[in-house]
Amino acid sequence: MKISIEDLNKVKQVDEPAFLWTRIEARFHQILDEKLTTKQLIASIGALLLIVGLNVFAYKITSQSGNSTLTEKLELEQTNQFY
Amino acid sequence: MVYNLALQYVQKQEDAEEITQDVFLSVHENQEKFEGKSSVSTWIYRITINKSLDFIRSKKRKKRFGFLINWMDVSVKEEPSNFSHPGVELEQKEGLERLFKFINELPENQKTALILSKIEHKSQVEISEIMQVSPKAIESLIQRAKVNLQKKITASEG
Repeated sequence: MKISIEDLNKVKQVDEPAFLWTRIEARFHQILDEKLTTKQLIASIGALLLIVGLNVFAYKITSQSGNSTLTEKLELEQTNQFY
Repeated sequence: MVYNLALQYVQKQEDAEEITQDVFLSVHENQEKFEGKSSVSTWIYRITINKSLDFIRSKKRKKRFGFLINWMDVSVKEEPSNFSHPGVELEQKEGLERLFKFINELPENQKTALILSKIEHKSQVEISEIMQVSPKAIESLIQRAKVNLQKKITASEG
C-alpha cells in the first residue's frame, strides 16, 4: 500500500470522550481535598505547639521566682481572678 | 484541541486521555505563572506538547527496562500494535499507522513542526509562537521533516 505525506490530511479532529471531563473534575476535587488535609494538619500542629508553648511559659514563670505561684507571678488576686 | 494534539503524538486513545488530564491539571496549577506574553491557547499548546513528549520519553524508558525482562524471559511475545487513533478511518488505518511510525522516528522538533503544520493546520507564525523559534527556523524544520519522512517512505517501499 503506497503512502504519502499528504495522507496526513485524512486525519480527522475528534471530540474528547465525555467521561474525560468527569475524570478531570474528579482529579481537581481530589487535589483540593489533599490541600485541605494539609491545611488541617498544619493547624493541628500549630495548636499543639501553642499548648506546649503555654505550658513551658507557665512552668518558667513558676520556677523563676522560687516558691511563688503562677497566680502570684501574674499578679492576679487569689480569690476571684480564675472565676 | 488538547486531546487531539496529544493523539497526534501518541496515537493511542488511553494515552491521549491521560495526557489531557495532566495538561488541565498543569494549567490549573500554573495559572499564576502565565505571564500573558502569548495567547492562552498558545500556552496550552506548549504545555500539551511538553506533556506529550515527556509521556513518550517515560514510555521509552520503561520499554528499555522491559527489554531486560523480555531478554531473560524468552516466552514473552512481541507486543501488539498500539495504534488506536479515533481520527483515522478504518480504510486509512494501515497506511496512516505506517506513516505515524515514521513520524515517531523523526527528531522531536521536526515531529512537532510537522504535526502542527500538516495535521493541526497551524500557520508558520503560529507554530513559531508555540515552539518559540523564528518562522524561518520553522520553515526549515518542516522542510527537513518532509525530506526525512519521504526518505523513510521510499526506503520502506523498496
